[in-house]
Amino acid sequence: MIRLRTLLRASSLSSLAICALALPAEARAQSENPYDPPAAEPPSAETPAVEPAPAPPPPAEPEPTPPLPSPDALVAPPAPPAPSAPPAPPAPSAAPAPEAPPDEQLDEQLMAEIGAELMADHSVNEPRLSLYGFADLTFYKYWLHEDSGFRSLLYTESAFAIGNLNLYLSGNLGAGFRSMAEVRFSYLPNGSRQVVGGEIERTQTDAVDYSNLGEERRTGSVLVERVYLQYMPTSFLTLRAGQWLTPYGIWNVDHGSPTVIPVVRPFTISFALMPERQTGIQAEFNRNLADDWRLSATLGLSNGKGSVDEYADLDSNKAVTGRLQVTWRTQGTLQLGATTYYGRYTDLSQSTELNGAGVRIVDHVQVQFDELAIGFDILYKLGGFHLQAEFLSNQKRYTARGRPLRNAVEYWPDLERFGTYGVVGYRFDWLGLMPFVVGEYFQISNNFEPARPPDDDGVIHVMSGLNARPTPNVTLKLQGQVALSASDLPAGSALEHPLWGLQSQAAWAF
Amino acid sequence: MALPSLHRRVCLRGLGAGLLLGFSPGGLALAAPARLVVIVGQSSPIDNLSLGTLRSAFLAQPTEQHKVRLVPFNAPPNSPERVLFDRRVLGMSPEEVARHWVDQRIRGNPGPPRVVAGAKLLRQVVARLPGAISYLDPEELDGTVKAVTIGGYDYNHKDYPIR
Repeated sequence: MIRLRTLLRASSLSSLAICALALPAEARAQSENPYDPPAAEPPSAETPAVEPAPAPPPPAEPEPTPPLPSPDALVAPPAPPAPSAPPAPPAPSAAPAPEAPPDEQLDEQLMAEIGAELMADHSVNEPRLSLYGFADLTFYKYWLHEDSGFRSLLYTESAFAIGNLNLYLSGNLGAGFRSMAEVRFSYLPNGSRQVVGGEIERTQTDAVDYSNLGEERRTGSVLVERVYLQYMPTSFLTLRAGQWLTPYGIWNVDHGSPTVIPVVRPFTISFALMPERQTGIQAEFNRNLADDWRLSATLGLSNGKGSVDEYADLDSNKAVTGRLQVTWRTQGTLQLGATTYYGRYTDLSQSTELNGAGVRIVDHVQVQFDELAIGFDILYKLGGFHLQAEFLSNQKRYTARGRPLRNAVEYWPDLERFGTYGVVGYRFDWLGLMPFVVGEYFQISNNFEPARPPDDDGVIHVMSGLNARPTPNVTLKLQGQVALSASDLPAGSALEHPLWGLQSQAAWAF
Repeated sequence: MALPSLHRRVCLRGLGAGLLLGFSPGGLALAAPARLVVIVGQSSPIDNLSLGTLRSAFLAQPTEQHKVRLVPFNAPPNSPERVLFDRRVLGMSPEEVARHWVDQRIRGNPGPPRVVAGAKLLRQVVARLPGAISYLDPEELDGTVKAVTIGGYDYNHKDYPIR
């Protein structure tokens, strides 16, 4: 039976709330972090001030205490409580039997709670579900030339926008198994635009609500960000099966708006030079190399990229992902990573044709290419200083039967693209304020102006602003951005004119 | 329900003890321990840990020592012990620690170690749970738990890192 951690911990949380009332505001702000597990409350007699300061501790004999269940061995349902001893007959005309002091009763009760929590975390019969997530609201304004090609993607009118409402569902299943899912509730596809035959068509999902006659509702969608079963047979090996975020760089896995410094991630990430997520299996090895060094290696096997890669592989050619990461923690934290991905993309259509007395299905490959992506990343944090950078390159080599037409007279050539960005910021203690600058250079394929060569166009993108975290769970951002072409473009090109934008965002984790 | 009243009583007692320590509702003035001793159960095979291994365990990274999976227990946020431990072992301020755990959860990683408040209860948990590891003011040490050296240094040594 699945039950919510929130409900299970209700008593502990209520005690936290009561304790918080006794704390100064500064202390309360930290205690209210919902991700810090609730504390078992201390017996006050244990505070050092009320006990004489002892000399070096005496080698007291440990009291024989029954052990709590080991987390590694907790696969069995909780043992039934030991039968209580039969009550002793009351002594005639004597005082009531002495009870344990209240402090000891309290300790035993809290110990039982901790034991029950540990048991529930690891019991196969009572998995626990944790619900949490993040959301954000953005206010934006873009200034675009009337000839700018960005007008097919962005609105120039200022607007508020709910960008993300992501919900995590995580649960320990016992014996080293864990379930992890993240879904995003989205208004898409309502409002999305596509260029079709010279027209820009906007998707509208208005539907009459049959239960409130006359009322029109707009339907949205639920996007599966990731869902997998995780198994940890040892402390240095983690296995995952399902749909997982490709472990490249920094902001692909760490994609939540409260943790991303600017309002939007750099185009280098959002253009998916490396697949954002894959469906398959993954093994992750972690090992402390030395006192301050930790090595992480990840190997994944998946359907790769495709038009329906979540549940089909149209070429039976599995993609391989590998990542090496080294983390060094002494004076700050330095993380270096390298990732590679190799796979085949296939999109095909099908038709039927007569086959004697029946019909048979014929596949027609529309697009097919082999893809190699390589990425490097660096992250360095020292106190409030934050430096991070990523480099991604992508090579596409079309197969003979999967090379698509680019226009009426030529096919698409093989493509090579890259993108790179860097972020520098410094977070002050006051309101957790961080001024930051993001600089980026990336290449996009010219697939929107067939009259020009298909060479990759270079774009320079700069974002700069403030990121504040007044509490750990709330992030406020304000930034300006400009994107301009670094290529020699002819007059009238959609990329000729720069993109100017101003955005603010409130993002919160819950 | 008996629990809320028990907890209220514990909190009031805690507040009283805090006032004795010089901490007032208007601001924190808790006396920070000069050093912390890392403890495991008396039956644990662990006698020494490197600072890196300790850091891994308290960053919720799966960590084994002598084939024992370490189960870390933290002091409450903003307690003097927690602040000192986080600064010396994790290298983070209380604000950085709080942000770190929010970020870890959004990344999809496990959350922070459990919090157990109170030395007596902490000693009981560490003594009774195999693999449990935590830290204390050395004045709270007794025979139910075992002190662990860090990097080969006893907590009385001048080069002991958690001071």
